[in-house]
Amino acid sequence: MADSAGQKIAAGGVASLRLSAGVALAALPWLVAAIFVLAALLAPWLAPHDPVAGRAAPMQQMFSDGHLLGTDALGRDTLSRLLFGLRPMLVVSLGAVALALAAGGAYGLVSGTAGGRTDWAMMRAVDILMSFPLILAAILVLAALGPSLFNVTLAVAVSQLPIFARLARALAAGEAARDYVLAARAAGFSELHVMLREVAPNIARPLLVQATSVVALAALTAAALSYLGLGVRPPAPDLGYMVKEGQELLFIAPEQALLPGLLIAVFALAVSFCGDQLADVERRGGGA
Amino acid sequence: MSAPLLTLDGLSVRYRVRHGFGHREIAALRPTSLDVRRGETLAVVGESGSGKTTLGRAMLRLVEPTEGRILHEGTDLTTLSVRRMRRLRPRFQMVFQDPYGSLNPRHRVGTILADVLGHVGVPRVERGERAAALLADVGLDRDTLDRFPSAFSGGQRQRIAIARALAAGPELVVADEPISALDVSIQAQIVNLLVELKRERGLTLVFISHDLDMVAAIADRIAVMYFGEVVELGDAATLAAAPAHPYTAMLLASQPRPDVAAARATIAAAAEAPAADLPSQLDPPLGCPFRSRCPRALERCAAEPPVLTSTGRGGLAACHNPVPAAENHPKRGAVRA
Amino acid sequence: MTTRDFNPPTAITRRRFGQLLGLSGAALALPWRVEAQDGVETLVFALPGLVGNFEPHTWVGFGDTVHVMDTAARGLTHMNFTDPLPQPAIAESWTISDDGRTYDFRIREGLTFHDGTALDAAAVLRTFRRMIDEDDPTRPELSFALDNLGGDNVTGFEAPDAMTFRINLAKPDAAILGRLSRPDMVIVSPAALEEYGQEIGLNFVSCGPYRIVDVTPNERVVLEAFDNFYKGRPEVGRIVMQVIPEAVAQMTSLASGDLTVTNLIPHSNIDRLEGMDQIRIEQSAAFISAMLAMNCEAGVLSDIRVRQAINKAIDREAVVAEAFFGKAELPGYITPAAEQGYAPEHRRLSEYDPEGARALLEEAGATGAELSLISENSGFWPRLGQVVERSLNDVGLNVTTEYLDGGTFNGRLFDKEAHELAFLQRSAFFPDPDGRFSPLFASGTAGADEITAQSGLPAQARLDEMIAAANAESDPEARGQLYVEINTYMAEEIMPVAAVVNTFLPVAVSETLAGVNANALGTYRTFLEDTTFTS
Repeated sequence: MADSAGQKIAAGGVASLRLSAGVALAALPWLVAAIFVLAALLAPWLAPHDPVAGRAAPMQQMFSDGHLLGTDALGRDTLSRLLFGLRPMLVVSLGAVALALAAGGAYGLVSGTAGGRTDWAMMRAVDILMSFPLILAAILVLAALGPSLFNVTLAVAVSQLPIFARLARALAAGEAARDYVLAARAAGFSELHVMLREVAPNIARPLLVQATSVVALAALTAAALSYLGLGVRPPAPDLGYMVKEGQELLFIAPEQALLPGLLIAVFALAVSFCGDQLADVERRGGGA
Repeated sequence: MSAPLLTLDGLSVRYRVRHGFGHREIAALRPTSLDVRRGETLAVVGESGSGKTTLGRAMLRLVEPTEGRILHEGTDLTTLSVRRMRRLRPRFQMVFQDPYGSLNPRHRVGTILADVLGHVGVPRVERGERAAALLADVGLDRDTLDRFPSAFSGGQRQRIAIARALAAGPELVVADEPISALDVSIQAQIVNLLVELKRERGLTLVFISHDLDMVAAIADRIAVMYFGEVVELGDAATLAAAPAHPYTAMLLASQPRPDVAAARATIAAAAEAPAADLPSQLDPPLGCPFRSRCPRALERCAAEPPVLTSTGRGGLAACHNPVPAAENHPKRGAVRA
Repeated sequence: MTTRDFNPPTAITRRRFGQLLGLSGAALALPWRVEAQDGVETLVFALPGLVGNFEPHTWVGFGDTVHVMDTAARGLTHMNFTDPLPQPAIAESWTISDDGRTYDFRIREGLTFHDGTALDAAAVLRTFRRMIDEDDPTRPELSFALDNLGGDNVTGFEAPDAMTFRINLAKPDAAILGRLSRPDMVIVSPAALEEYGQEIGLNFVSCGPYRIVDVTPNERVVLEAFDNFYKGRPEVGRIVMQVIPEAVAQMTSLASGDLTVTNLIPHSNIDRLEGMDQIRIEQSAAFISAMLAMNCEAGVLSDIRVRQAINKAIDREAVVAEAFFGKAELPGYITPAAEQGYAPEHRRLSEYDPEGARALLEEAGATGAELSLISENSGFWPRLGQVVERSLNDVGLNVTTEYLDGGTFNGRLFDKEAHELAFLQRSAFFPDPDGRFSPLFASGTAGADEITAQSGLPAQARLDEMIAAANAESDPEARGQLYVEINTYMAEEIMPVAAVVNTFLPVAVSETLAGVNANALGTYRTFLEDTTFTS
């Protein structure tokens, strides 16, 4: 009796341990993403040195005095540059996704709700944009506008725009075919009301879920653009550009390329896991 | 009865569909002329695919008619600008078949009603009370306002949908199969509610259904549709008692009967009937579209499409060989036996 | 503070290096290994790219054309980048007329082209006629060879006898002997020209130390030693020029032994590679100059005091240490120490003097002036740009640098409306002192008109005269002295560019090689004929 109760408790304990391990695992990507955001926000307080103007002996190794992660070829503290380098990645990836979500979402909403020829023409335009490789679309935008943080954001947003336009269009078209939309039209509401008040609230949630999973892609695109020298202008710190700068040093100071590359990868992984979790919740019917 | 509320004159709806390498037009609604009389309950009856839903939507210009006119108080609604049509819309409302799809899941019931009330000019401060009153009219209490549609059963939702239709202050309500998605046990409640509200508010009701027996009990007139056109139109009691069109007769015969023998007989009759395929919309037959299923088909039916002509019983039917008045009861009886 | 040790105490073997990279196994599978399986000693050289068209008179690719041309072809003269004077090549000797306007070249006896065609004055004339005769059917479109030889100053070519080739000039040009060693002055087989016409670049036949056996565009060129080369058959039997554009891939290939010579690895890796067994870094003279061009018509830069301040502001020691990892030299002025025309006192012309710079800026009222700098965005340029930008901002300027792709950069460099400060690279195709002045800083050249916009300055007329006089002097000693004076005059009176640093392409070779011409490889020229395997 006592034994079996004990076993039950033990079994319960194991189960709850398993459960809490599962919860911890699920929370991990959110925790990592939060740490990235915090580190970027607090970079001025966390960074031990000025990431741009700092001057020490160049190419110091990791764990040198005062330079935990060493210094780069120009004698700048690598840790400080990594911390500040998070900022453009976050600004560009989050900003670009927000822009793409807003613009692509609005576009798809109009296209899907309007239907008919308008829909057809609007979607062919997106097809044309889609036929460019996304990174090429971004490079073209940057070639036309010149490199700057805002332009990179814009370029990455343009490259993500078709994703949101298409998804919003598909969702909106699905909603527009439902009777509540017809009921609103029958009541004499304007198409604008139909789009914003009836259709939009019903497509917002899946779009937001999609946005979360696209942040990772945006971060990688931003890093790739920086790597190509199309992003933030040196000497401003940027993770993608640090990989480029560090690449030729791979055999003599591998951390110079690997650390920023690792940060990019970890951030992209974390947000894409976050996005997956949200998508799972949405699929399981997270309706109100 | 007074002047018609709506006069449909040769109203038709055709869709372009992709067919092979090109496009074909299919006629969802063949040219139809029909009055909707002020204050009446007009039932539109037919099988699924008969065009009854299209007719209901086309008469409100919720689908754009391809041809024909919709006359309302001397104006042709089909010629109105989108903006002017929109202004008229609150006068014509719809209740839909699926109460799960017809209410926006992201809005509270109160919001759904208040939006419509606001749209027809009810001041903001009055909307809450008016919405509560509407809910009371459809038999729901005030708590309903703060909840989302997902909190309600199908019957309750349909009541909310009716309240929403009433919120616009309509003259005409088109109810498109409003009970067919509901539990049998509550179908009667919703029908009664609609009939009652119609009577209390002096509405005109277009009631679209596949259940000829049921509508015969509530409608003033019945229009029977087959393959996109009205094949018989007449006073409800007469039409149900003495159908002139063989299709109407068949619909009456195929209604579910409460006794097993009748059901068996119905099934047997259906099996004996000539190949009961519906004609293809893509390849419409010459002559009468019903002739492939018609026990009374003549050679003439294959060559010449029948038009609506007087039945001599106060109604109209499109048939070259209508069911004689005298034959009706025995035939119906025969099926039953 | 532990500074990274540039000379690792433990030597790392090539094998171990490869293992560290996890690439030794993969390297064995590289396709060009196949070429070495027949026992012929093979030297593998890394190319950045390969278009596969070796037309000498209009270059379709840059790097690959030069490397292949230098290996497969030869001209009348040769400069080996060790002796400052041109050496005989296809011409065994030459005479210059007293007025300096007629050059007679004596063609070496008994030479043939790779296809067996006899190499005589008529054959040489055939090649040169193609440069000057616009109706020659074999002439490529956009032939710029004549411009590279002297342009309008070249009035004609003759073959007065079977083994004498003559060049007639309008006015004396002492640099022409050096220019004849350029890769676009090579002699091409007249029989091949006859057969292939404008397609000669795809079927290239010349008289260099190696003959082209096989070309696979974007992959490799295979060359074999030529018996009848004027210096005799080269010892190394075969050269494979393999496209390996990535520095990382080159280093792993070096480590695995699949690559024997390269001049494309970054400066940062020199010490690491040097510490490895079986790889040697050759010492190269610094023929490559990085300069900061200043647009003399752009805003505050039109004031020579501002230009001089910028010149003083550049911390060149920081440039050497941070942008080149110590693998570069402090400059004199335009002429590097390895060329004629350099004098040790030139070092003071490029001295780092931030206090002096601030004072000059103050005096010119240019403290805080905003300036833009354009730089290429590859190689060492971004590092150089950041160090220079920092230097200039340290003395009170406000410089922003744009890092551009090569095409955009060149477009803006050659347009005085499109840049203020711009980096300028000058390497020696032939180390004649005139090569750094006439084509770049004389009025009427794209350099003086567009890059520095110095042509209109009052002091420019004197510079033009000095350049012309120096190039009319055929006595090497006297000529060298004139270029010493030109350097000083230009720095003191015009200052259109600030010399930043002189460097070289790091040349890494397999330990088994000897006789590698590292000076030439260090400045983009590829003379491999004296190379031998020691084991």
